[in-house]
Amino acid sequence: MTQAELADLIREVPWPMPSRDLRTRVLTAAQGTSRTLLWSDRIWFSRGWRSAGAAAATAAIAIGFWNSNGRRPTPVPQVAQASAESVSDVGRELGVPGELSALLVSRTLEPPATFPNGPRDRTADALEVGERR
Amino acid sequence: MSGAHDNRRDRERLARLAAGSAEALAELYDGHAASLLRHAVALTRCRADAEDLVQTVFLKVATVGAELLGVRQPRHYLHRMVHTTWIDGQRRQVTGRRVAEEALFGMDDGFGAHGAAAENLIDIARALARLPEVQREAVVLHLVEGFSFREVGHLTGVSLFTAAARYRLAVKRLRQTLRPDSGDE
Repeated sequence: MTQAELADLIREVPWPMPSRDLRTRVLTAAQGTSRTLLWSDRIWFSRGWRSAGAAAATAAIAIGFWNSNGRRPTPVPQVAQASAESVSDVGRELGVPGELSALLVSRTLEPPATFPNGPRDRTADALEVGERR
Repeated sequence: MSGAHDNRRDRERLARLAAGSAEALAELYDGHAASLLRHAVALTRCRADAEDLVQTVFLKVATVGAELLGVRQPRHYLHRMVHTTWIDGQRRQVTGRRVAEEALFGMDDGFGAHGAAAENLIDIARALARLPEVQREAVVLHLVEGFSFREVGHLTGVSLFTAAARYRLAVKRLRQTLRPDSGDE
């Protein structure tokens, strides 16, 4: 007997059908088990609502990420460039250490918005570096 | 086998049932009771126990409530419930287990024909009854109900490979039982 013949034979087996009594039993026993559906249930178990929620969360995260990291760099104005050069020259003439001089130059070049601690704190940082020297 | 249309219709029925519709339960019963009973017979080997199992499953479904709204594959869901309800019942039944050695699964019709064909069917029914229940379940779900091995594995809580191995072992054993001298392949 081949496997196909065996499979056909198994499919031909007259499996029992549910009795009428079973249908009556099921439907009778299920009476009074009904529940009321809340709107929150419909939302929680709805695929559409879940997908929409996930999409909204992803969009919010993406927008937040773009706002914080994806900002375009602002061009350095020529005035700031000239100031940085003069700061560098003055520092060299006064014998200011290279690290401190670079820090002062970077403070001159970078726009104020990108300073996480603000200009005053940056100055304090620079002075601390100088004191350590 | 349920198509996409039947699946969508069954999901609508489950949604109505979740809201307490008795008609939806009747429609689900009419659509799936026969298939679930075959699965249950494969597990219990006894028609009366199988009908009890199917009744329990439908009662469970009727009381599930809002979770039914999240069911994507109603047919799979119902068969999986047959399997898990059977397993739960087996765990609880430490004693007092009903003898389930009905060689013909309580098949009371369909054997009206006489001759070699009917004898073959009786032989195969007896051979099926002697299989371990997990193997018999795999055979019935795959061959009779048309589930893929992946689906059988999903329904019975095992991997695809385990489901396929159970089926292969069952077929091998059936062939040996039906033709003891034929051996493997």
